[in-house]
Amino acid sequence: MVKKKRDRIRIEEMIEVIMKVGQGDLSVQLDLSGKDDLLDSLAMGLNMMIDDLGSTHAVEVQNEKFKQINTELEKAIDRAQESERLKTAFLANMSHEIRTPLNSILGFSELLSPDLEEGQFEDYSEIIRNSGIQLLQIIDDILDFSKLESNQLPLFFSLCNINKIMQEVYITQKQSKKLRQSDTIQLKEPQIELSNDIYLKTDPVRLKQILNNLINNAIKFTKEGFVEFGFSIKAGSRGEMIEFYVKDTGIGISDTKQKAIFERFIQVDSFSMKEGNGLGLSICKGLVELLGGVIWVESIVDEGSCFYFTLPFSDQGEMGVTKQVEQHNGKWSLSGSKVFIAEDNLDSLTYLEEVLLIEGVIVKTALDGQSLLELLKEDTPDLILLDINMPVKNGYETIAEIRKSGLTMPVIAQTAYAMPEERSTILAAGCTDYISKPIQRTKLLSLIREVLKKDSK
Amino acid sequence: MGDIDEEIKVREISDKEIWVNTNKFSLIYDNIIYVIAVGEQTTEFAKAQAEICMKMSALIKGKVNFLIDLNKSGKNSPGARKMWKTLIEHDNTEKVATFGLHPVAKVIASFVMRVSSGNKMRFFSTKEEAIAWLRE
Repeated sequence: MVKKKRDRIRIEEMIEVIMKVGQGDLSVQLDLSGKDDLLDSLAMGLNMMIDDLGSTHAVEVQNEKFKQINTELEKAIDRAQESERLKTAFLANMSHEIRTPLNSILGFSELLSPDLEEGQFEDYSEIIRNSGIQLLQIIDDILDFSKLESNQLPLFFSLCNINKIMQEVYITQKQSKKLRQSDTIQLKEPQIELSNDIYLKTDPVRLKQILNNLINNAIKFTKEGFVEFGFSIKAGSRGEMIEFYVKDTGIGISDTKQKAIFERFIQVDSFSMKEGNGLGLSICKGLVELLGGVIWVESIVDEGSCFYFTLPFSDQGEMGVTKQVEQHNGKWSLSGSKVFIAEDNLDSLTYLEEVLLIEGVIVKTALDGQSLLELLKEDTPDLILLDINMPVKNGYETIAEIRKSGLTMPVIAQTAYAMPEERSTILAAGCTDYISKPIQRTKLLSLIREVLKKDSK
Repeated sequence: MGDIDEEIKVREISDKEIWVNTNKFSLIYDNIIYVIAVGEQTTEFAKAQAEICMKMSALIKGKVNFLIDLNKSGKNSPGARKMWKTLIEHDNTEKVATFGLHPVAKVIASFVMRVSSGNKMRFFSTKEEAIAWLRE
């Protein structure tokens, strides 16, 4: 029994503090009377217990934070391991993808001989060429993918006629090997809602790349039926947009895989050993997002898929002024023209020389920039084909000296770097134009004609 | 709860007598560090005291004993108790005797002793009893 009123108040204070602690308030403390009596010792004990509870609570809060961090770390490790696993699978697949066309190139090259039966030479050459194109596509995909991954893929915007792009993609795809060989798959002409030409400010090369990738995939995964593509203008939350689609009647994609297929290295059916490097859709997604749009898929297994992507659009139709690029369809004879080639790789040099000699071009060759400069002291060509990466004096140093000496003839740079930004560097250095390796005969001749024709004006 | 930032003042009267704020540290019987703890013992305060104890320990040949007067001591923060635990469990520490006449001192001692394992530390009512145990 508590006799003194003051002691009773102190005990009531203790009860109040205990209740507050019970409700989770660990900031409370009891005042000591200074009498150092039993009640003070009780209060001191309570204060120190509350402190301990606070410390324990702080440790628990910290532990909870650590737990969260650990959970996030575990997830990150899982993601890294999954990425690593996919990378390994990707490398194995890529090895297969690269070796397959290489196998054809090397195998059929060995079979080429003067003793071949009629038609065989052309057939083998066609296989070698197609395998080369396939290999080039793989290399382009890897380069694009690595650029997208490091946010270094430059875009080159211009006002594009979308109807025209759709038509060009249709013509390209119509000539694809699988479509030509199959009578069970039909590629429908692009579905275009509007009869007027639609102009869109975008990167036409990348837009075609996205469409071609999606259509290639659609054809690849369709045994019979049709593949169709088109676009329509839609109203979105951020204004009008063009919605493109590529639809097929192929194997379809299950709900669970629909998101994953846009992730790098993932293929619709990892076990089906379909050809492809698993980068296509990942590149599409990266490109669409770079161009300001979104990409998604709707699909039913065994019925087909429809891939959609949007690009931001504002009506630029009438006001758009498209740059008229002069077409050079008519052949301009190169016979008698004089071309100097600077190239350190003997195979590449021989190829360029052969291509030009067939056209009647007078050719002189140099194995490095310094040798080319020596040649230029003796003679002046109509045009120079200049490799960039050369020993003794590289392409940049060579073009600088050519221009410094007052020579103004067109110079076409040729390089294996193949990065779009390389072009602007090369042009700024003083070259007239640029062509990337591997150099296709028709492209090279067309470019030379264009450059020489311009120069002759 | 949390320690309030406070200014720690150290006054060295001699090698054998040092003050840290209101706490007095003195060296007695050649191997006993005698601490008179006054007021609340915060973590920062305790850290400064630990440094003084280590400094005084260097003057002692062999193991060190501590005699702690808790008669005027206030609350010991959890951090301060942890610091005492480190000091008590130090290899160079022989024994620690705390003393105080009133129940508050006993409560404080029990909290300090709780953190330390073993039988290096004991509580006494009087200084004499404590010294006698230390000098056994």
